[in-house]
Amino acid sequence: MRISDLIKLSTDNLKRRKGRTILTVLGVVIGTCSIVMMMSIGEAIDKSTEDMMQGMGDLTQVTVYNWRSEEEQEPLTDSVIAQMGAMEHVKVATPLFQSNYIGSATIFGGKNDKYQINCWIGEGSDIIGMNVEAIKEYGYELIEGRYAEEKDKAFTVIAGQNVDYQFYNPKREWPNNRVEPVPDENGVMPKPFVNVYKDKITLSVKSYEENAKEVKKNIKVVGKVKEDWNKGYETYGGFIMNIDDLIALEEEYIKVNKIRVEDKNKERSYSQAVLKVDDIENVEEVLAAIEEMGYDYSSPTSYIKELKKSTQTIQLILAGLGSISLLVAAISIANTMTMAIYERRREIGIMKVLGCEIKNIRAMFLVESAGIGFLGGVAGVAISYLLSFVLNIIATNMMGPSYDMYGNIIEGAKTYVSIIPLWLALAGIGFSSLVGMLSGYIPANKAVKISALTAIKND
Amino acid sequence: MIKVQNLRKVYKVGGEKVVALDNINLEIEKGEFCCIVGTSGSGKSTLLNQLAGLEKPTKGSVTINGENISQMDEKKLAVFRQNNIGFIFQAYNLMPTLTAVENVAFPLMFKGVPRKEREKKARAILKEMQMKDRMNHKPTELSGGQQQRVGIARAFVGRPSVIFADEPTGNLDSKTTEQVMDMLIEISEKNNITFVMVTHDNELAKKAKRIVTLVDGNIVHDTKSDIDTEREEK
Ligand SMILES: Nc1ncnc2c1ncn2[C@@H]1O[C@H](COP(=O)(O)OP(=O)(O)O)[C@@H](O)[C@H]1O
Ligand SMILES: [Mg+2]
Repeated sequence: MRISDLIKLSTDNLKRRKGRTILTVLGVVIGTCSIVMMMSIGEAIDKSTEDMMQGMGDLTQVTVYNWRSEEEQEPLTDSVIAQMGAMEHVKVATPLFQSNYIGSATIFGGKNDKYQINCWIGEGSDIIGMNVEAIKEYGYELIEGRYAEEKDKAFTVIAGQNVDYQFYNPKREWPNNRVEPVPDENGVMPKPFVNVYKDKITLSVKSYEENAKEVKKNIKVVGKVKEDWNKGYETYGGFIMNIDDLIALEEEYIKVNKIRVEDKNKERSYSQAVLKVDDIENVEEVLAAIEEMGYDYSSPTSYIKELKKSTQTIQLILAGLGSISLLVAAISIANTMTMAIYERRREIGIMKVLGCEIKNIRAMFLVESAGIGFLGGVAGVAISYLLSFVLNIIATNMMGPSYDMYGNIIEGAKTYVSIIPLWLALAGIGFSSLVGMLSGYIPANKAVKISALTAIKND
Repeated sequence: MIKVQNLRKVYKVGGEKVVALDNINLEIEKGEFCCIVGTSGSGKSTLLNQLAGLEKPTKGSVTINGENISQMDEKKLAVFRQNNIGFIFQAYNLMPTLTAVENVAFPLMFKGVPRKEREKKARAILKEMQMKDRMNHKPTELSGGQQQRVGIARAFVGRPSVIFADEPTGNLDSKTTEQVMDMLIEISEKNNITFVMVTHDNELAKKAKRIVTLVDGNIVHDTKSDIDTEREEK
């Protein structure tokens, strides 16, 4: 028997009982819809986390904070940080310099300190201080020169890719006071005011108070790192230096300005430290260990985890709803097929007498029940697309406009809460057809056992 | 052509045994038109069903074209039916959703004959049977006589070597019965097809060259009118 004939017979039979077919299909529609929507929400979450990860920073980076009181936790000292660095999967751990006494600085460049950059010192700003041996491990990617090393003289530093263009001339008015790192029509970069390798560069720390005394150090730039916004601004136009140099600078500044310091003899503790984990897979494990040690932390992965957890509940509800409604649909398909077979047992008998093989009778009913599943799948996927479209519009309106990194509204930007890729649509239809076919299996096997004699009996 | 040996069929109804066929021995030759007659309950239908392989015998065997159909499994039997056997029912038994042409072409579908080809054959036969203007009618739109013509066409379409018919005129009035009977004899003879039919109408049976009479599951008369001899079994 030909497949085209099988399909024709089956569709004719489905059309014969339109009302019953539609009711049975409806169950499949609801089931398919729930499952496809559940998956589509998962897809949307995956996509938005992917997008978010772009701007969220280095996923293998963990920041540890010294937020709790001393009774609650041991302060973040060098020894504690070293202990973290020795943990399994941690590539490197380093304190980040943060000072109560020197928060800002000026970097001068060129003859007579003609050009300058006004800097903040500390985590997330222009000047980053960390253990010198951690700089490389931390993942700063060198594009020129070399990393600073332990044996280097004090204030041997590396700088961000565009650091030369950050210098401006305070004696001039904007826009003539600086050179923008934008190539001209010929693609040639303009010459910056300062070349950090060749020109004399100094770091100056001075409070705005009157009588405040300046502490000034010559710094030597030995390399530049690639711009990387997952790391921070320092890779663009800042400096990365040995934390010991900054600590020494702070001590000198305190001394010169005769600042009174409490707890002078206490071991230095840091407000935060960063860890670099060897692989994203191991971040969870490291976070658990840090929690064990009693420290607060933040990691882009923990944010993603939170997000996933909150949407998981919705997904679980939809998955449950979907499986239950598909189960009900499967039972109703089986019921419909059993009824259809009972009604048509005489026809089955006739077909047998006329020489129809039992495998074809079975196939006919399987195609019929798969057809119910298929129709339900197609309708369910179509409705899912519609639902998804509406949900995304609602979500976009609720979220308000999106902004780019300069604060401008992004035209036509959308918030996606549901995404149905082609594979999901096809899988939905395939799965519902399969459910239909499996539901028809037992009834179809009953059908083939109907005796040919049924056709002869006159009742 | 058809050879029946020591055929016995016993039904068990609620612990009681009903002997539908006792001990049947019968040979039917190629191209013979054979009527099985007898009173109601004499075992005619049971015999026909055995001949067509719709039921397994309790004992004995049925051989068609040298093949023992009593020992075939269901799959083999289906293929054997496709190629060798046509069947005409008393209640016509057309498929209600199919048109006349589609009904006639139906058995060829199981053989895997493409739609165009099988419907061409079906049309040709229906035309022969003066059903030209009823080709695309559904069974409910046809009279009893017309439905049975469709049923007959369906039995002949595959050019089987033997056709079985269980009271093919049982539901028809006497005038139509006559027409249908003449048609059956004509087509079988023309195509040299062996024809075995059951009827309880002795007058009608006289049109056949061979008449087998059953009483209580045994053959009591077997007449062949052309050689004009009457043999009595037992
Ligand atoms: N499926 C069956 N189950 C039990 N008894 C049956 C069955 N078919 C036929 N019989 C019995 O076998 C006998 C012969 O029946 P049947 O061949 O139908 O007779 P006929 O066709 O000559 O009227 C009857 O007594 C009938 O009751
Ligand atoms: Mg009968």
